[in-house]
Amino acid sequence: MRPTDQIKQTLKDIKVKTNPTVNQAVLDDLLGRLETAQQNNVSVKPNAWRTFMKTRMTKLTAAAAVLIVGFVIWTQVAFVQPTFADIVRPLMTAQTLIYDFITGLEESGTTMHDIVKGSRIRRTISTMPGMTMILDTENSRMLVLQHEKKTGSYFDMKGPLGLGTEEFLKFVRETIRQVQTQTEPQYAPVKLGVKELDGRKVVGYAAGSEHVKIEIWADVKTSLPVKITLGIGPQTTTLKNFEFDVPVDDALVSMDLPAGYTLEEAQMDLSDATEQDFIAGLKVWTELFTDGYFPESITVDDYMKKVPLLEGAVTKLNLSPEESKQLGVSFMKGMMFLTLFEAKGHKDWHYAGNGVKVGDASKAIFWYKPKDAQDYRVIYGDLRVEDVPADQLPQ
Amino acid sequence: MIEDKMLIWKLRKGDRSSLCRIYEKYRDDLLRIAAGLLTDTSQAEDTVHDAFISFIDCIGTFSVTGSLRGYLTTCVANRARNVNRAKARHREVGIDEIDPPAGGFDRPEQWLLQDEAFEQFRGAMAQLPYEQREAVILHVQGQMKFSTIAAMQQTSIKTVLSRYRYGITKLRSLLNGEVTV
Repeated sequence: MRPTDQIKQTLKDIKVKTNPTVNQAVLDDLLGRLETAQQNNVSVKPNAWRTFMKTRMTKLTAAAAVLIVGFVIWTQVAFVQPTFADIVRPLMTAQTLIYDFITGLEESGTTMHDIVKGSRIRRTISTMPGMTMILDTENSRMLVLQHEKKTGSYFDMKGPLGLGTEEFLKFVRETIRQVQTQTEPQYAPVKLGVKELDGRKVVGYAAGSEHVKIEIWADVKTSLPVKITLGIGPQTTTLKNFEFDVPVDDALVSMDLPAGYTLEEAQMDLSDATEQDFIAGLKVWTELFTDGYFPESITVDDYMKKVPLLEGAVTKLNLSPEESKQLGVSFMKGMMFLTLFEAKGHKDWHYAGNGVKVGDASKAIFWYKPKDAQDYRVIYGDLRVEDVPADQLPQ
Repeated sequence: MIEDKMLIWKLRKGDRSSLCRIYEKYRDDLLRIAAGLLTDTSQAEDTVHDAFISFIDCIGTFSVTGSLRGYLTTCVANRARNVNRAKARHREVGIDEIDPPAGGFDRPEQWLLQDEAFEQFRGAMAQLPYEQREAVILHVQGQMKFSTIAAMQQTSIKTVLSRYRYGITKLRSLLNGEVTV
């Protein structure tokens, strides 16, 4: 046998030995999850979204989620890195623009599909197939359409979320312009070379800093971007499937209710989110999804993946419609606290809650430096908050 | 393959024994793959546990276009890569330790029992760069084609082949007949 084959055989022959007690414990856990999934039909039943969209609470939270996720990129880029703030300027001239953006890992993250015409955006999201949003960034309004029920609701987008949505678009356009011209001195991209991507020859550029990394792959012939990856702290976002100046029917981005749709009232205050909102949101998360433990991580994508599961989780609690709504609002405001974080001037957040049980007063799960504060705010496992000097922060 | 399709069909109808069979059938192979990919044992264990949970979560809409083994192996490989990336990111921001994901579940004790041969195997694997480790393990132990691995690693087959060959060559010198199974 050749030495290479010998190594292969050795690797194949490696056996694992497992602890029978743990084998059984894990199997019991899986069987329990199977039972739960069958009982509440959230995961097992296809088209769970249809059920999800029937209640007021989830409709509101889903709409909020979509708005919030669109906000995160610009906020963090603009406020974390002044150099990147400089590139947020509306210079791209395309009349219409279509692209997908994926929060989280490209292969498993939530995909949002945007069709942009002027100051209007038509937005759909992969995890919420029954819903379409039309965003009017000029007038800070959003129309949310639910196709199955043929209803529509208007939301006020004034405040940081509306601004963020508008600026995000500017950021995308400006990034594209950077690739086309490659002349911006402070952008200082490093060439990554040429490769094949989806059957096209593309050239890559990377730029960024310790906190913000951007990688752009553009078609070598047209210089138009094919894929843009942004890494902002723990958050990864991919923009791809770009189309430029394709005809877009005005009706697709109209703020008028389509024929046959009825108007539904919807109210949700998304003007601000405080530390207390964040704590309330975390509490909801641990109670609904992680059996009293803090989650592994709390990126925007983590929040987004939980949104479609809210309804199933809340149903088990037998709450009144108003209580359900409050719970959903708390969860979304927790997410909003993080997305508004840099915009509000706070700094330096760390999450260390992975695996910590709720109530564990000895472990710090989150800390950050509020705007203009000397000390850090530290949230512990029992959800109390203390002011702690920088040199006494958890290691 | 046919057995797997039957098991999935029965599992969709709520048959608990099908889940037991799938678990028994693939548990050890997945643990071996995860343990080869990740140096932290508890993270490797969590990765396999999470892959099974994810399988249960999507059973209602799950369709086997390839093999169930391939699906579960891909789940483990993707999660292992995420863990590895997260670790690298944590290192960048200066956090040395990452707690293993609990997923709301406390295992009573360690799942993988390690003997000398297994330790040697993991020790050698840990010395390979992650992409080489992944190429070797997924091809040899996960029975994956190089083209599939190339798609996962978002690179060319040529690069994967090269990573695989470098990995095998290095393993040969590292293990050098020391592992007895």
